[in-house]
Amino acid sequence: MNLRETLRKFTLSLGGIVFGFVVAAIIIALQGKSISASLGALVEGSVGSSFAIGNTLNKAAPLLLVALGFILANAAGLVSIGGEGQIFIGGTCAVAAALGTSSLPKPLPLVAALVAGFAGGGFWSAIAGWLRARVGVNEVIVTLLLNYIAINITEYVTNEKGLLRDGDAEPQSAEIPGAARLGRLLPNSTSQLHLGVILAVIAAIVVWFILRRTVPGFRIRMLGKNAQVAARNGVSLRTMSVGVMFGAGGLAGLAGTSMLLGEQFRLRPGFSPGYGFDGIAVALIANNNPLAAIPAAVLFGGLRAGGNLLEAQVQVPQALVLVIQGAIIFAVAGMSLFLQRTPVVVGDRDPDGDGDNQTAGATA
Amino acid sequence: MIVSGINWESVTLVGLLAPTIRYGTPIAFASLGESFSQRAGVINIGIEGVMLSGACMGAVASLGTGNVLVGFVAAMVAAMVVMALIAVLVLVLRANQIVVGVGVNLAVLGITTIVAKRIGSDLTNVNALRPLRIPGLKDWPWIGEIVFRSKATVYLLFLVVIGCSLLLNRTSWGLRVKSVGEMPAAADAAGIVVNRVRLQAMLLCGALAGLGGAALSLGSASGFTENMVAGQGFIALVAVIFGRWRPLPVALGAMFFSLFIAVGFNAAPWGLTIAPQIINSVPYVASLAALVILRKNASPPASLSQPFVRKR
Repeated sequence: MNLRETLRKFTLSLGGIVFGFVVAAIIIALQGKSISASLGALVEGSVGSSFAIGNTLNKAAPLLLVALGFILANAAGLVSIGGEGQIFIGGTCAVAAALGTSSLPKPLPLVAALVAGFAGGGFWSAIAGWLRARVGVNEVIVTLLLNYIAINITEYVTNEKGLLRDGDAEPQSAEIPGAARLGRLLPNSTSQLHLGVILAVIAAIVVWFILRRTVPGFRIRMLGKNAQVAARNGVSLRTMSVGVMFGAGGLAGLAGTSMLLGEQFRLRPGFSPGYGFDGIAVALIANNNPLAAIPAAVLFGGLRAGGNLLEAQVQVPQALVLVIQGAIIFAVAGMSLFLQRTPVVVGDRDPDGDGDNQTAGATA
Repeated sequence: MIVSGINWESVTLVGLLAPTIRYGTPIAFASLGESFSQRAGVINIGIEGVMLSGACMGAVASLGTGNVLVGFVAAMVAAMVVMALIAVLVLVLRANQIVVGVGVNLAVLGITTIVAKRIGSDLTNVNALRPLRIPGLKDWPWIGEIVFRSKATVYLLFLVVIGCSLLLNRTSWGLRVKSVGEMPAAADAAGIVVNRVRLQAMLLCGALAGLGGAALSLGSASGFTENMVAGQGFIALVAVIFGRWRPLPVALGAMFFSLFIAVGFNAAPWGLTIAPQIINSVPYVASLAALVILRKNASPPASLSQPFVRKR
């Protein structure tokens, strides 16, 4: 990738973000609210204090992890929209492991919870990988279906006494013991910043390293770029998809783990507010680059964190943040055509589509 | 103990099937729409948002004019506008269809929530459809209670299912839709403007999904609440796969999933103590099983989710 191309990708993402905020400004103006006051609330809620910054980064961590999962699967040509379900299964497994090992000495409960979170999310995602490889069922549809089953599983285990439910008051698990929590990085500050943020950044570097600097990573990318060439070199989805999907789901499972072990401390039904889908948008803005996903995740984390203050201070519904995210996705996805020398389609197609295939001309 | 103590005397066919049809109707409209879009080669994950836009706009228009029919028309128009936006992105700009769908679901949820908060509780209580009891037929045993005391949307669904079947299988337009979904290059060579047919199929999808949304906010309920589609658009998406992209099986698939919603709804009066989460999961597990078992016949349209670029 040369500098010029990098610059173009950066401009595209920046343009998309600007577009998102312009759309938001229009909606705010239509409601007769002050644009500057709303922007002020968003900024204050996301970076205005050490508490706000911590909140932003804590929300960015799971978004980054989900995005990394999407990027990994996508590098192999697989499209996983199952991040949300993997968050739920990973988070549920992590809490179960944390509660089950709470009597062990200090680092072990945390280690057990992280391993269980990764394995749980990975397993859930590998189902889709296995079905794709062995049965030939489209992974997009399977991962979508698995989301709903996962959400129900989490709700079930938090509702049942014999499982993870604690007490009669509300359906929720017992509190995770201190030994299994992702510790606070700045214990003497108002910032709630926790270890999950470091974990997510390390994961980004690891995913980048694996994809760019290792043989399995090379195989994955070859498979994603050109399945026929990969097949001629002995690399196929049949052998790769279970492993890739396990890794991708494991990352999303860690996202759920980070939310529960770093911030929420109890498993509750519906504990993820759609981060599994937001993460796809993060990957998109980052152009599927694991390192670029870090700032993209911080941006979306900031939007989520700032959204609270938006509603409290200027009575603009927090839902505005969803519109901003949607608008950014439209702009970046819509404009990505102009980044490519070759169209997104696989196989033997016109290498420099003129961008308009609706014209007549070849009519019989 | 997962299942216990069913009070069998309270379990009736009518008690099961009447709510099945009621809950299944909005889903069936949306799934019929989605099957046209997919048959033409466009997977629309944004169906959830498209439905939601229809549900919201229908209620807003009904509140504004006091006229339910205007509400239905407005719902269909709003959903078609959203679909037109999707079409520009995925057909003209060849954006990734999955990603665009995710964006649609986020954006529409955001906008409709803002609208609902702005208008307030008035929007939750608007003029809506009343049951349309068909004289004579409504007193038939079983079927009268199950079908002929429904809202007008249910009768409309029967007509729409027949219409969709005829449109897809008995008209040249239906053939064009199938051809651009299976072999766009061949369709193009035969003089069919691929993206024009895809756009038409997507607008039809929008109209039907909007109808489904209005069937929710102006049929099943009488007003709009935040995120009222709540995953039913995704169930519609699954029903399309379950019904293998053919109108009648797709609509029956929607009803099959609705059956489990109805079971969940009835669980308490029946004394069924099965966990609601298990009932709620059944449609998704059944869809997975259907995908695996029917895989030989369940292959999606060949060009699904691939943008069309003409060869030189």
